[in-house]
Amino acid sequence: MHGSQIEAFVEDGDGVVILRGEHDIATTPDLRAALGRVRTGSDRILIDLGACEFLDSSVLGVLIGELRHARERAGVLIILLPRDHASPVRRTLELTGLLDVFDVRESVI
Amino acid sequence: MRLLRICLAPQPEEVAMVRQAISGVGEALGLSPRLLSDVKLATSEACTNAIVHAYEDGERGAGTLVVLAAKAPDALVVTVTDGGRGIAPRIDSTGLGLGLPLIAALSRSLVIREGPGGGTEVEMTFGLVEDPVP
Repeated sequence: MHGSQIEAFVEDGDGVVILRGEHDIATTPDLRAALGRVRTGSDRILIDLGACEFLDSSVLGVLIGELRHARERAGVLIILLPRDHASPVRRTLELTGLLDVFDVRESVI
Repeated sequence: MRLLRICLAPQPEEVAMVRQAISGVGEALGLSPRLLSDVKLATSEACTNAIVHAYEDGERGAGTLVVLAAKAPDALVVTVTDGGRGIAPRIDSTGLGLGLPLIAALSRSLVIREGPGGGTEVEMTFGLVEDPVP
């Protein structure tokens, strides 16, 4: 899949944003808008990257901005990512050092 | 040997097409999934840098972005050239500054120089097989 899709909703008080496909500078406006929709009223934001096949530094910039937002309001931002060492998304997070900056989990159950 | 030449408008929606094209080149060369992923990300970052930094607001519509891929004896060389304002610090930059460090980490070598038209040329060289883990 080379397209991109962003799904955003609030579930059990959590703001959930699911990224599918490939995400880059062209999709960051939609990602910002999606985060803005679920941020209000949610102390915990879950970014699900399990179906994200590609992301670049412009997407990481948006996620870092959201992490700052979360910390400013004493909220939490969690990245959901399977422990697949061949994942390009995990490699991008590793190479940028952001795997240790974000709260990255396989699930929140 | 030249494998690819794309000339496109420096617009965000074009970057995915460049990735698709460079993926085709990598697959034809038999790159491993990890190398292919590295080439895609580095090329994407170089294009994004050009789109974000090379042109003043309003100038981008008249700009160009050229992506070349060529095979060297044991390497794939990808060059991204813009026709923008050249290498200069930008105090209004909104990015994290992760793009170039990422390209440097992903490529075997990285050269940034002034392009033929006064813009910036980013030349990235990738191995055709994965480097052994030290």
